[in-house]
Amino acid sequence: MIIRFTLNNEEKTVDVPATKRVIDLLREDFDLLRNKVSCYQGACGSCSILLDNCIVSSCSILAFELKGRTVVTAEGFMKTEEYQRINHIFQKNQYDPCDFCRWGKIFAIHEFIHSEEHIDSDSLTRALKGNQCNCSSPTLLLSVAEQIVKAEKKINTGRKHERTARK
Amino acid sequence: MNIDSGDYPYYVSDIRREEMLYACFLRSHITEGRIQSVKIPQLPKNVSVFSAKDFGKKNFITVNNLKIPLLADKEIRYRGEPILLITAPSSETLKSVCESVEIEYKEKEMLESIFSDLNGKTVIYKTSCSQSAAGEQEDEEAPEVISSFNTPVQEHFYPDSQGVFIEYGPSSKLKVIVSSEWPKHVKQTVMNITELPSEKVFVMLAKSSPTFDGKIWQPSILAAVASFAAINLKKSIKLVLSKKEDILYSGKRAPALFFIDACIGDSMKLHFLNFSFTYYCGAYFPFAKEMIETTAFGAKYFYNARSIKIRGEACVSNTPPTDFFSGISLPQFFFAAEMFINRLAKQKEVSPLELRLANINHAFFRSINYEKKDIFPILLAELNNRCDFTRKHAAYEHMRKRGGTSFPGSVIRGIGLSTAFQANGLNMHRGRFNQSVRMSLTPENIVKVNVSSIPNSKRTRQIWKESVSEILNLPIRNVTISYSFSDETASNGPTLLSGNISTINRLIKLCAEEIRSKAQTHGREQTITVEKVSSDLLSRNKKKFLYTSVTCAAAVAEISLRFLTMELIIDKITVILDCGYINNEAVARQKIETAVIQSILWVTRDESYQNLINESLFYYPGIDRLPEIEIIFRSSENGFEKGIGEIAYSLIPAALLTAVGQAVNKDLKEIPIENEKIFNLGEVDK
Repeated sequence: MIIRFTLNNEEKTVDVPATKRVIDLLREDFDLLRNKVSCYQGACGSCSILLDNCIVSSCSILAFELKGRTVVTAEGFMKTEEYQRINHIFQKNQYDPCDFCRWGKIFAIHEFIHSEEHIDSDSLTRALKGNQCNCSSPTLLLSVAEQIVKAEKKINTGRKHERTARK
Repeated sequence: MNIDSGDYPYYVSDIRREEMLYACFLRSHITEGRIQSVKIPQLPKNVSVFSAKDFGKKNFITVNNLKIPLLADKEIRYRGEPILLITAPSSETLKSVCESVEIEYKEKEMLESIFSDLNGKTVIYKTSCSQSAAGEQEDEEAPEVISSFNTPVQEHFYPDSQGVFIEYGPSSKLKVIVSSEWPKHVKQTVMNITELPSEKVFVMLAKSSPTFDGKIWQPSILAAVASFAAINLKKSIKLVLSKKEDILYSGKRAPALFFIDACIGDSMKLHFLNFSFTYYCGAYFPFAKEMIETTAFGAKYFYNARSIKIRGEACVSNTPPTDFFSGISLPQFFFAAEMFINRLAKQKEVSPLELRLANINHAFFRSINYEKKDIFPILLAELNNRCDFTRKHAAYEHMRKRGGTSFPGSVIRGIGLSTAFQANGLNMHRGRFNQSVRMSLTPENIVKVNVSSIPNSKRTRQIWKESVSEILNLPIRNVTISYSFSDETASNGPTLLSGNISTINRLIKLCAEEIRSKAQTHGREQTITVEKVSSDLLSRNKKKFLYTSVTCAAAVAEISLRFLTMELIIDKITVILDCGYINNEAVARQKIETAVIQSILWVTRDESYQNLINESLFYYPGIDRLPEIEIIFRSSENGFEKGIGEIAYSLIPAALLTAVGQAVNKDLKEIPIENEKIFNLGEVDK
């Protein structure tokens, strides 16, 4: 099946077998290796990507379902300013998750930033619960996530005000 | 030097090359028996199959003097034992070839459980020792308490699977990219199997998860078979286990069965203490002696009694091979010992805290850590204050005796205490597992450090650099660390076995201090080189004790049982420890916290082989299901590191199970304890 979709801001056309999963397509056909495969069952969060700006487990979606949609992988997100800011707060707090859970956590934080959720420990915990990894401290993750979300929301609010003022 | 000193930038699963071949094992479907016949169909182009016969007399690796077969020849010793190695140009072809191979077996009768029907032939190592001290006459009235405890296998959660990539180069040069804690052994094994000289085998360490430990010798097996295939087929080979294969058949913590027998008098002092224990090591285990000796060591020194008798053995069983996990066998020992002490306290109706204070071997800890004060009274007093242990314990005991609350939808609480130590650098007295650090300072003020161990993170390497820079008063950029094993350096054993990162921290500081002193005396005109090995750290008691320092710790677990939702909730885990000097508190906290979580999983999840087959191990709790974990560091009198990596495995299981036992008013003896088991205990008082 031939499909067209947007991958990391580029239009792609690809012929995919009906049973091929998105994570395999990304890793094998596009050589995008930063998103990993671990459980292959949609449980661990290692293969998380942004599909139409929502976090999904790419091992649980068939490749043909990407038709007409927008995909951002770790490689694409790394080029954003938001990633630079997130990474800066990670480093400042000496929080260094492994390559398997790193992107699931970053994408979950990204999704939270752009949601209307109230920032508190419970809602952050809910947002991050889909990442199953034992590489780093969950307490530190929560603290780091809270710092990032607060900082990003402040930036976003500032931008909104700027836009309103311009109008 | 031809073992690379830096992390390869990728995990093995990320590596791809043009014209490489994929490889996989075809494994036994039976647990024990003999192979009758193997029928291999007509193979597609570029597909090859290797059996034990192809390897001939080299069908084994040697680990600590034990020969372990690469592929099963005739006899099958466990379910999942590799029988064939298949290579193909794609993973799809591999799968279809595996499905078409037919193997006939003559199966032995299955055992009911790994704890049954083991005869004397299966014992691979045993020990017995006793010690007694003169003292008061035994109180003949004091009742004897006998209990048994058992622990199951333990698997660590790590997201990547074990694997190896063999890059076949010109003139049969092999680049072996592998995740391993023992690259020297990988190299030696590949050289043996391929008969290649040292300069043609180049080992690189691939990335691996931080929790990838306890898989010490299995990477060597993967590297050996894949290298053999690469040499024969003149192609690059990638052999990566599937996640399920890795979970099912890679090494686990060995299950254990303990019998403990003791009695205490009115003074709360232990009159005698008898330990009898058996480890079930799976089909192969090269470190049985080290494991038994570690337990015996814990049994001999942790508690004081007028007489202590120890009898232990390690048996082979028809389960996948076991391996060394953090703490070697101290976690199994401490689970049994601490459960037993808690039970004694309950029977005697005394505080478990007071009972420990009366019987812990305080003199031993003072002596080994060169401290003037007893450490455990300090730790336990602070823990008691933080957790309000004494009050809560007494209140919950009162509730337990009263028969709980009368509300069907009520919450019942429990609290459990445990104590433990971690012996740093155990077994390093054996020459072949000695860790080493070689440091040289050039006249240009460049410091080169060669370390025999593998740091567990980039931060560890940074800590090493900072230490050297501080002691020698040089900028960090002047310090280079290579954590390689050069051909000239003897094999120092796997990182886990021969001491841990703390040992290297201390050796680095020792080397830097000696270089500073030599530079002050002789000047810096010539390169100054210093080398230290781990036995240099052994204490003045080195004839008696086998390690350099011990971390002492205590923990409290608080739980609640919610009958309405049938849930065991772990409310809080508090750990207090004296681990000596802390290089980086944030890193230390993370390390302990992750070990606490792994320990909780060991206690609360049934990782029996049946459940492993049902893939239950893919489950790992999300952040929403984790308890509050408080870690308290007690500053130490001594300025050196004592280690933190293993202590949680020894502390958490007993504290947690005791808390559950108090809540359900039962003497629990084994882990795992899952929700279903707890709420089916029958006589739980609601």
